[in-house]
Amino acid sequence: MKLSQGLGGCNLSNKTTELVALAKNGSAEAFGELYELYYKEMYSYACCVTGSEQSAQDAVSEAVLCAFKQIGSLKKPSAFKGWLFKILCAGCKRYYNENIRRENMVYLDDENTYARLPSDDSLELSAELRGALEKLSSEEREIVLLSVIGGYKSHEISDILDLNSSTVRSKLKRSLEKLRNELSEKDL
Amino acid sequence: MNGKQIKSNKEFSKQLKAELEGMTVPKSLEKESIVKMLNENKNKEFSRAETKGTKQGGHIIYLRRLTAVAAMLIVVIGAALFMRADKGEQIIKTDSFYEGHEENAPIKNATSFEQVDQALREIILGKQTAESNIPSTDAEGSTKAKNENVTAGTKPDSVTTTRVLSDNYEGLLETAAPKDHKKINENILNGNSLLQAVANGVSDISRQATIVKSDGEFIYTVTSGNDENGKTVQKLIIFKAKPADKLKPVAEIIVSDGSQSNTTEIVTDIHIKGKTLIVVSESDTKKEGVTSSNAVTTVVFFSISDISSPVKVREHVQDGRFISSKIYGTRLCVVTEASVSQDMLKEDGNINEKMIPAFRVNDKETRLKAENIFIAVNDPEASFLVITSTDISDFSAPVGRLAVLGGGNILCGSDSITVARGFVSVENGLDGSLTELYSISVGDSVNVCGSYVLEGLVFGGIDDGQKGYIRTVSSTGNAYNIYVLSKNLEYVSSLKGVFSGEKLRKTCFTGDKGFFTTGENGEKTQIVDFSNVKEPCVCGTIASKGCFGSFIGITDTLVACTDPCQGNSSGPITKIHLFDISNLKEPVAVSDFTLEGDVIYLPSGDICGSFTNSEEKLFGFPFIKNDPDGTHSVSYAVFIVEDKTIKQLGAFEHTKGETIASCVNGVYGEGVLYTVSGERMTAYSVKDGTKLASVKIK
Repeated sequence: MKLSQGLGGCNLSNKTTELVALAKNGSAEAFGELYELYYKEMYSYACCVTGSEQSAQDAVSEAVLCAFKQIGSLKKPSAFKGWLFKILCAGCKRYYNENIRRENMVYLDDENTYARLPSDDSLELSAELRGALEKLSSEEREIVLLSVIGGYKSHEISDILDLNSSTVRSKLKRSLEKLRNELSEKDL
Repeated sequence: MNGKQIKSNKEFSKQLKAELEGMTVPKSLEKESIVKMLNENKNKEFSRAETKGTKQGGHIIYLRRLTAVAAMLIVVIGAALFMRADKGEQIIKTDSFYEGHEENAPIKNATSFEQVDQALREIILGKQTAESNIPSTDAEGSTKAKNENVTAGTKPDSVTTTRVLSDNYEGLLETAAPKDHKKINENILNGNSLLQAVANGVSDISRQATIVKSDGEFIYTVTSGNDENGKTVQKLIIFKAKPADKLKPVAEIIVSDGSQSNTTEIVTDIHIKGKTLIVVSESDTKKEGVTSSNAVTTVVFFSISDISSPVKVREHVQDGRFISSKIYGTRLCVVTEASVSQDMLKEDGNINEKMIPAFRVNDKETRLKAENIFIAVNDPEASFLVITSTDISDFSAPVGRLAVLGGGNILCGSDSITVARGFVSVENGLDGSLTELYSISVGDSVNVCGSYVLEGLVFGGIDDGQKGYIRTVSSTGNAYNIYVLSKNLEYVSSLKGVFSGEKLRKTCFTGDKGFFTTGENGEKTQIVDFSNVKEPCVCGTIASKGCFGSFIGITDTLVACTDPCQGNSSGPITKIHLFDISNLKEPVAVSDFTLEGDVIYLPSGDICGSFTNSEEKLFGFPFIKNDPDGTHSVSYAVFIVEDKTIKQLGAFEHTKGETIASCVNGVYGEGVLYTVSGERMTAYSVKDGTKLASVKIK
């Protein structure tokens, strides 16, 4: 029986609390149940940030392993998703930078710097969307993806990325508008 | 995807999400593979631990802990904020630049529920601001907003304020978990002077002492852990702290028992006021009758006339996730954030009263009246900041209440509450960002007593450590502005365009000084002197490379700077630098102290306790030591500053032989250091290092 089935009738929050408690006691199965709730979002996010399917796979695997080891430090079970994404974000950043370096590109870690995605033709992104995402700085891209894929609110993104929530709000707005403009210019 | 045809960011986000979610996840990332990987890894780790001990695991924890150095240091700064002098009569200066904007208050008082409902529809459904009858605040300047009614008006032509959809911009709310630096402020502000309760923390182990406070005679600690079934159990344990050698638990309150209830209450704060103990907790589960929010905050008042037998005298359930709580005189102020979802809006145009924040006192539920609700004008979020004020000395007195629709960052200051909300004004300068501040007084009633709109987005929070004044820094793109406002948010002075082209890493206000660390690695720290609030000035500079930790105000003229970044191949080394800032223009490094060995002194991820005592020139913090057998010991280091030199008074061991180091909080008072974890409380004489008592927590 799946662990989640045994918790039927509970809402998501209660279920998460129970699963986190079990995972803290070392249950990989419980952690797997938690992971299953978010793995698609995690993979999509990792693909878009690292720009490579292989890096995305590695980043997600590493994040999961790291999170499982450190779940004892998670204070609030309800914060599990944000906490998991925070770990994933750090890993994706590292892979992204490695990929960029591998391509011998000069990357300035400036929020306004044009930071294109490493090329990976196998990535299941439309060329248009990929091009539009490339027009964003890496930080802007992270903010947009956390909002769009992760469904996070700006204050949650600010916690994940260690940014001021006002900054997140304004950057998210500007980034979405940049994307819209970029896609409309291409008139796809 | 055609971006041009999409009307709103919200709609665009949905289309974007649909496209991005179309990716096929490889088999290696499916749950079964991941669980297999985790189990294999677990077995591998287990074998390794059996043969080599768990030292490697310990290092992982250490590395993670090291990353939250700054968090703990904020706690230290909190204590330092109180070393300041009253600067006498306040003179408010008027800046002519701001004239003409007085009428554009950033929040307006609602006159009816219809108005609140309309505002919520506009936020949630994304109607244009122009349709609203609420005027916008558009430019920097002081405003006066004392419970004004909403007046019909139009936006000035000069500035356009962009509208932000709530689904994507939930606001500037603090996270629900209390910030520990606030707690330390509260400990001191609440007059817990005999014993200086200094910190709160969490740990990696299942048993934690998450909150520790003291009233001078007793120490109150909240421990958190899991029972054998993994259910959360939280207890509040009261210890009699004096005499220290007779330290003993005198009472225990079960706050949350997961085996008895489906609702998990997480204690977020405790207060002690006279013979009343107040426990504030938050739960995600909705409680019957209080329905407008995704979470509720419960406040339980206990009479501790007989400390060994606390008696529950009142329960107050307030809509929303906990943000902050604080004692003002005899009143307890509780701030929560209650969000409103789209399904609360009735399609027939009638108002769903459940979207109005409610609170329940001893099972009697009331909802806020329209006149107690304010609506943020610029970029409001679909959530209410709910502020209540309860008279602890007279529970029969009415509860003061106020809600602000729109969200915001909160500072529960020494005199009043300040809320900050950033928003984007596309015609206002390079960055186009403004921040509106409004001040809320807490008394028999809760009132808006002033507001101000400043250029840029607030960086590093708001400070009220200089009596009568609010100080904050805003980022405007390539430079920063430093503002001084009165406690009612009237303009006093500012420094515009400072640190131009530099990257500000950290701000720290202590007394009438401010420390602003810039550079990638905190290479330099510039000191701003606020002793003349009307003319603050950037004075000296400290070469602070590596001092990216924080500044601890030891006295008015001596500042310690922790240095977590040093290290060599033999293991981490931590340094503490001491600066003499008596001549602000030429601060001088006077001494260093180095902790050497395989030691990590600032547990991270988690915020463990440190303390400063300026009267005795003492400060201390917990540190973890890697022992040769692969286990860890946690001790508490106490230092004294004498003749401009840092001397270590002792390292007081709290636990030993742990495979995973626990977090230790400290309480200092009258020469006794009490170290507290979820497992035990120990009292030491700081003078001679004697262990006076140690009590195991069951």
